[in-house]
Amino acid sequence: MQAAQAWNTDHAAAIIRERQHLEGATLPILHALQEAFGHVPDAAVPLVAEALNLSRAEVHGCLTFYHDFRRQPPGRHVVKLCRAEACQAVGAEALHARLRRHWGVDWHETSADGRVTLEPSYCLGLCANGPAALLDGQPVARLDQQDLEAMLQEAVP
Amino acid sequence: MPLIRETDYGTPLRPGEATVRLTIDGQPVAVPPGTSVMAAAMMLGTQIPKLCATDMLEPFGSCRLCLVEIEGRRGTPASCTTPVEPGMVVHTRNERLARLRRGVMELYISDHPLDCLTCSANGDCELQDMAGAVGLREVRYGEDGANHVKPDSPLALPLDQSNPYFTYDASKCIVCNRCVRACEDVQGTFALTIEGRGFDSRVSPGGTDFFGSECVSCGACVQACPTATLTENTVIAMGQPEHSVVTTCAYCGVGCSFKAEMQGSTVVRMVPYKGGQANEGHSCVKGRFAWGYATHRDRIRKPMIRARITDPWREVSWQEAIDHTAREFRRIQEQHGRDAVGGITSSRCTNEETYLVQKLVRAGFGNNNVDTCARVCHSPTGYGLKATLGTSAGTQDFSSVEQADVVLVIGANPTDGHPVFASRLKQRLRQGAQLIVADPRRIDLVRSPHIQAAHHLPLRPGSNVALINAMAHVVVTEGLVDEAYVRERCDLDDFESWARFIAQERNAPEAVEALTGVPAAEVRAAARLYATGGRAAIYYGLGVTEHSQGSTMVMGMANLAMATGNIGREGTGVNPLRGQNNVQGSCDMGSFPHELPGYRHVSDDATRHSFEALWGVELSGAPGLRIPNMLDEAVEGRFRALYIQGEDIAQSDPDTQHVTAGLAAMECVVVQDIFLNETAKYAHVLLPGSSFLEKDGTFTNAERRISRVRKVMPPLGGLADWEVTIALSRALGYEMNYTHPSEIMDEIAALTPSFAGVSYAKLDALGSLQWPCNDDAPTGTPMMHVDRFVRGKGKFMITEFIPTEERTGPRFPLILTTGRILSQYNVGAQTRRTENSRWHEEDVLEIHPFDAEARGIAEGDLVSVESRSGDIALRAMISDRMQPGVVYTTFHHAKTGANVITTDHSDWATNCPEYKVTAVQVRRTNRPSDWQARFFLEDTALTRIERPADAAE
Amino acid sequence: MNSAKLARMANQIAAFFASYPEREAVAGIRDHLHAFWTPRMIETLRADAADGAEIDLHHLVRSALEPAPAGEDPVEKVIAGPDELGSMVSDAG
Repeated sequence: MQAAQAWNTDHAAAIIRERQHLEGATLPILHALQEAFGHVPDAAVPLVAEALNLSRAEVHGCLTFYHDFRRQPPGRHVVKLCRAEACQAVGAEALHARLRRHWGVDWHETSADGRVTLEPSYCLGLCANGPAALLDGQPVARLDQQDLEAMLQEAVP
Repeated sequence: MPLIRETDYGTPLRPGEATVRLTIDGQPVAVPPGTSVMAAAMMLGTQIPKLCATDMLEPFGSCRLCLVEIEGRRGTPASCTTPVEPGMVVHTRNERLARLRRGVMELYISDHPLDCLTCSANGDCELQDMAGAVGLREVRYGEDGANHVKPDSPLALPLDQSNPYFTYDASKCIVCNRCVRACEDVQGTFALTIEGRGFDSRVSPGGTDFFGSECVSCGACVQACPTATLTENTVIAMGQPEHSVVTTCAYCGVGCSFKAEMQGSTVVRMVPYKGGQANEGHSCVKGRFAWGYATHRDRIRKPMIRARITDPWREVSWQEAIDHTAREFRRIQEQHGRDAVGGITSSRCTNEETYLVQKLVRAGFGNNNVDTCARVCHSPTGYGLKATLGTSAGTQDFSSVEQADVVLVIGANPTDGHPVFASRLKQRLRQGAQLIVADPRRIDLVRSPHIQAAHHLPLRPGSNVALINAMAHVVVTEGLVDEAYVRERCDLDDFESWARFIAQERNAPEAVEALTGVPAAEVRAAARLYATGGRAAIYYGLGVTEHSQGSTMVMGMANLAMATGNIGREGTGVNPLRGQNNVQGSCDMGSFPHELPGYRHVSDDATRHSFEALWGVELSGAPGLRIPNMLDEAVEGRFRALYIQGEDIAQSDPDTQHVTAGLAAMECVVVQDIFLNETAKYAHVLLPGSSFLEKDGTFTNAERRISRVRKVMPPLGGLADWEVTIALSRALGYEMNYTHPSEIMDEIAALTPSFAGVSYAKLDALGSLQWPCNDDAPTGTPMMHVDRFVRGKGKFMITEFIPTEERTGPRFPLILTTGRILSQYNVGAQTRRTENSRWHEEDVLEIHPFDAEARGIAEGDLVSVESRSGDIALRAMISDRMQPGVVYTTFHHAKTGANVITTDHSDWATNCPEYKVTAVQVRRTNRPSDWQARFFLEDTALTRIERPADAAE
Repeated sequence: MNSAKLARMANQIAAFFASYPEREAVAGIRDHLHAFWTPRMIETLRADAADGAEIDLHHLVRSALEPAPAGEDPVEKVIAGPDELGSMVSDAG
């Protein structure tokens, strides 16, 4: 997964311009912005609204409806832990609680050292291999806390 | 009478014949196709419980309370989203539905505060009503767990009191979406959304608070909200109203109908009346919220007089003030002649009051020196449309826009100046109608959420006629004339002369491109769209009329409309957006120096004799002085006294220094107004006026619609305006005998053929009436020129472009144009005395970035704007909706003095001032102008009131 | 009203009617002045026109100020009342 760049209005405007003629352009644009910058900040809302001739409120409503869109820049690594039923059945909740304590974050928060952002996910389709997660977009399975820590150490900071 | 409660059918009523027959709870009913089951039930008087449905909005189907059972269909469909079918059999009540509804309410109440007794919606809460209607007795979910109610809950939001008029309390929100839908469909601003999802969903003005959002404070959301979530601050403070009266707004020419909801003689709130055909239940921030000026502490409650304008005002009794005025006027007429005095009627006072003022001038003073503010706004409309069509009132009603396929807006900014009409226009545009905007600025209508003009023609101020001629040139030379229409309805000889004139090369878009600044290709495309796009309507405003060729431009638009067959059907027309609440009425009532009521010339003997017979005096047959001429004559010492009702010429008329010079030269200036205004600084008598809440009468809006104004509280000064005029007339020796304004209207009806059928009884029965209303049209006339033009055949007029004499040059290279904004109204006398000032505390100069940069001007800098007439200083606002070479400001604050710099150029036919074209130079400055310095001195020096020392304040 | 202003107003009126054949233009200007100007304004202008020297007056205005049989006014029936125009006539001036 590409490293997120810092927010840049011109780049954002270019991303928007490339997609504004798509049908239902709002979501593709928001995805592309998150892909480029790791998040969709408040500053993006008026740009999208202006380009698509929507109100800022409408864009805000769409943006906040989807938890997947982050409003703040993420930490260096994004960990999405699966919270769905199959993973629950193999002790995911306890694992998640330990991880949250360990990193000192709650869901959707970033650790104080900026290393990890923790996000929930609901079924990654790895139900036979739970607990599962996405680490910077890569699926990982049969997790325990040590595995996860080791993977994080290896990952590009 | 108690609180007026309007039936809420739950979903909008559909037009058409009641051809679908169905049975609801065993009772038959017939309704038009497309009607919902809910509305059909309501027509039978059966109220199906509902929360997310209201008949101002299309159905949404989210609350699941209105479930019904329909024989032959599975499950329990929502009655709001289910259209009727022939032969349908519906059951709205049974045990199963009752359990479902109780279950729904139980869920709602499980996350809702239970403080009904101290809640501001107590007595006016649909949630309360539904809990009662479904028989809710217990909420089994308890009070623990996730909620939005307890202050310590992570989901709790603080109160949003950022908007001065209403409060948003998120803890009471049931997320019915009515507010969001109201902002989208009714108002068209799209300022609200639901943020988050699931249990986290909450109404949000786009992530900020209301005041910082795109919200324009129209209040449609407050009206739509079924709970206390969005409530008027006045209701929070005062409690529920106990009776209401239908009246008409006193701001703009849309003339919205309101229910004034009262406690005793105190207004609690103004709620738009759904039965009002101009607004159909909607309003803007001014009409709904900004009525507090009527009880502002600046209200003048006692008559005052002074010998010299530099003396302080002295409060006196009505008797003394009236007698003094009468004595002075008589003396001045004896010494200086009958024509040395005159009057100005108000475009904001009622028809009856205006009628009495012109009657006082004509019968009491004995001359025709009466004029009104229409002089400075739509007088060219009168001249131009009378010449071409035979009548110059708006040809359509507002609902006609719903049938338009192409709308051409010229020189008007309806989202600011006629907001409720703009909302209706935007609804039609969202349905697919095309829009062409001709305006030097990129006004909101050009591009705003879900609306985009097909063509924006950003012409240079002063080039209107060139542009309209170019469009007509395209129509004629590209074979787009509606020949059949022209042949049938218009004078062919005039058409042919005009066609020959317009086809000449000098009128081609290419030839005038340099002059107008609009690319020829755009002009051609716009003209083709207007001519071939279907039903095409022109809506125009003061950007057309306030020019030296204002009348010519009106004729030009009429020519274009006639040539393309766009007059006389729904969805077409040439529609002036009249500004003031009663400017139409004031013109109807004979406020012009050359016309008696009903627009008949004073020199017409037959008409004049009919008036003389009823009024009992001889009347002058020669035209009188217009306002600018009154001031000219005053400066030359021949005009010496003026009775001004409800108008502030020192702020609103152009070339302020000339106006004040004229006023200062007079011996007796009488101002009858609700506040001490700018003109009052030069007055010798101040008679307290009465607001629209303090009198009975009628207003006539831009649709020619006459609506009732109903008194809800006693006049603060003791007398209503019409009573003051009667008193003055009596003191002058001309008796006027009326005990109630309805009698005045009866007299108007007796003397004016187009009003012959108008009476208060009929207005009470029908709600409102569009004139002409007489034997030929007993219930009024929604659309004019249907089969034939009023003058018979439409007349094409030759409209040669003549540039204004006001030219830019090295000394004054920019053009200043002026206008209005949403929150303030004209001279601001009313709106500046309400919370609306929070949105617009001062007038600013909007300037394009290029022009600003060239002058080293940054945002917020104080700049001097200088013209040949004078100079003023104000703050600059960099705005890319302007074009290079054009700057813009408003005239809402007296201290800005925008009219100090406007010129004395005016329309050739009517002397309507050319506010829209002033050559100026703009430069940075560090001090107010000399005029403004004098203004600040005079603001205290000429407004002192001497009050008795022990008066409690 | 000072002469310069009256002359300017009259010339502007003439500029509009100049698009029409001379007889009609003269009639139009004459009707317009009688419909909208006070008698004193018309008299002042007439006196100034007779004076000749100082003001610059369009020739059509001069013709309009002379009493003479009229052509047809292009802006028809500006002064006419209901007898000629019918009872429904009205405008919103």
